[in-house]
Amino acid sequence: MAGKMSPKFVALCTLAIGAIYTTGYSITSTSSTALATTQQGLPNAPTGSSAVAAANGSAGSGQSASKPANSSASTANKANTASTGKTNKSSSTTHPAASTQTTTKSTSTASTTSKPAASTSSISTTSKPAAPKVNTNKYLDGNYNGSASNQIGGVSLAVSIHNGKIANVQITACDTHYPQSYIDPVLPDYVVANQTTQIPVVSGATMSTADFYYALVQALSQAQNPNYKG
Amino acid sequence: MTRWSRSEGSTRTWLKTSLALGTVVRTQVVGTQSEETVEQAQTQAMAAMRAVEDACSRFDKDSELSRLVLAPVGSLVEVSPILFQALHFACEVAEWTEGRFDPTVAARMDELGFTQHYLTGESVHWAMQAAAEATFRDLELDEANRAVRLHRPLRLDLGAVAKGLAVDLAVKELSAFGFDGFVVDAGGDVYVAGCTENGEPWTVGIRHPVLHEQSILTLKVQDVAVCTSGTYERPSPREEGAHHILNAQTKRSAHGFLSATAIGPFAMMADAFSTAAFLYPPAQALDVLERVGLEGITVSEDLHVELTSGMERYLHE
Repeated sequence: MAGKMSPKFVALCTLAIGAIYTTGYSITSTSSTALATTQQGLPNAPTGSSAVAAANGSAGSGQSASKPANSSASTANKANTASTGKTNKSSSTTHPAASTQTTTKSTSTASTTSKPAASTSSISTTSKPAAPKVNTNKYLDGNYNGSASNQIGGVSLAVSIHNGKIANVQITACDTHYPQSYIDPVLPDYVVANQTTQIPVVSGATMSTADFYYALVQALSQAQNPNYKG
Repeated sequence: MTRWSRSEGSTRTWLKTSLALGTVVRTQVVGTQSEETVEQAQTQAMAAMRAVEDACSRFDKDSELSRLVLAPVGSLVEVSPILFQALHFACEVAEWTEGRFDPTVAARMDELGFTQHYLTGESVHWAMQAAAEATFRDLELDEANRAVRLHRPLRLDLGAVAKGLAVDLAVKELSAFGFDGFVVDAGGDVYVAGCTENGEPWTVGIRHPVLHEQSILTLKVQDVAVCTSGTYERPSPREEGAHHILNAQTKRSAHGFLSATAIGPFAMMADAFSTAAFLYPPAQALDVLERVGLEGITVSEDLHVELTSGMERYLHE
């Protein structure tokens, strides 16, 4: 291949990845907006707009938040879930804004995933408004169980809510005809990452997915906060 | 996240799977770092891939890509860096392949019935009519303003670029953590970095195009992307013998191979050219890969395997 090989596309890739990485990209946690309707307003974000502001604040090394601000605006209809703009990799390896999407298997780690060391430099400059005193989270903290079954068997699960968010979903029993590995950990992780009951159907495990869904809905119905205004 | 191997000393392997990009995405990390650090790294990698999906999905009416093609013809639309770079790269490949590869082939993809959103199963139907004669040359990319202008109504499919780009961005995220090794696998677009828990290169199997549970070839690789495109992956629900790899010049499905694999430093490049290789006469496919600096493997319809000359060093037994 020597002699006639052109390095053009290697160079193009290097430039493309570099340009995206340094300019930053806007992240919304809605991997599909068809699923977005039930995940309005993550409980920990005081308002949608301040969530965007926090993301912009963490995006720039200085006050150059204009580029991320544009991209946030262009996805404004989704921005009230979790929006992250980011640039500048040099100073730290952790990005505080990204922690809004953290998936965890255990409730104990959920509170430790936002890295205080990394956030001192960026979050402190964004003057976060104080959270309101009345708990208007969608869900009340605690542990809830749900189960569902159909002709192929049943699924039981335990959901833990921490700080108003779905911190962990654990499949506690699965006696479907199909292996638990079809839906675990893909579906529990998806629910935690997207804070939604609108789960994708796992190819080849439609009935197991249905069981999981109804069990999840049952558990979360017990967790509903009467003060939630969403 | 699952710690799926026993710990030896303090080096561990961590595996995480999620749904994104129309497939099951897997990140696997080897290192001595804490669980929190690994989780942070995997979360960032996944966030990068979701950002690409949000920008580039053809099946999501709210994606940036969808909004771009629905914008009035002739208007300059500012786009995110991800969408701009994906389009830019796709157009460069289109130019280089003299239009065989073309991101505007999406209208024909819709005709063949590739319209379902992978998560919701809903079909996407478009009110707008794409111009039949539209090609990538009807896309004007304004680099200074990071903006795009369409000169004809058209539809876009970045399927052969976006998944690779997502992998490359995830790789960039994970690289910053200094792990001993890691794997990003987005349904056939794979990048392997560093080494396994045993300090060895990664083993990557090239899926047998007919016997899906088997590998037709096994590679030992480090710090490269391995992307395989196969006609077996997505047959058309509408036309017999048609599938998702289309030649934009003929608007027909490509034939001659069952699969083409490209190996190189970037998944975006390997992804695009593993698709583009299909669009040339079979005898030229490997030469096309070599000309852009990739190694590759083709599997013909009679299961004959051919390799580029530089593949020897990657072969495992």
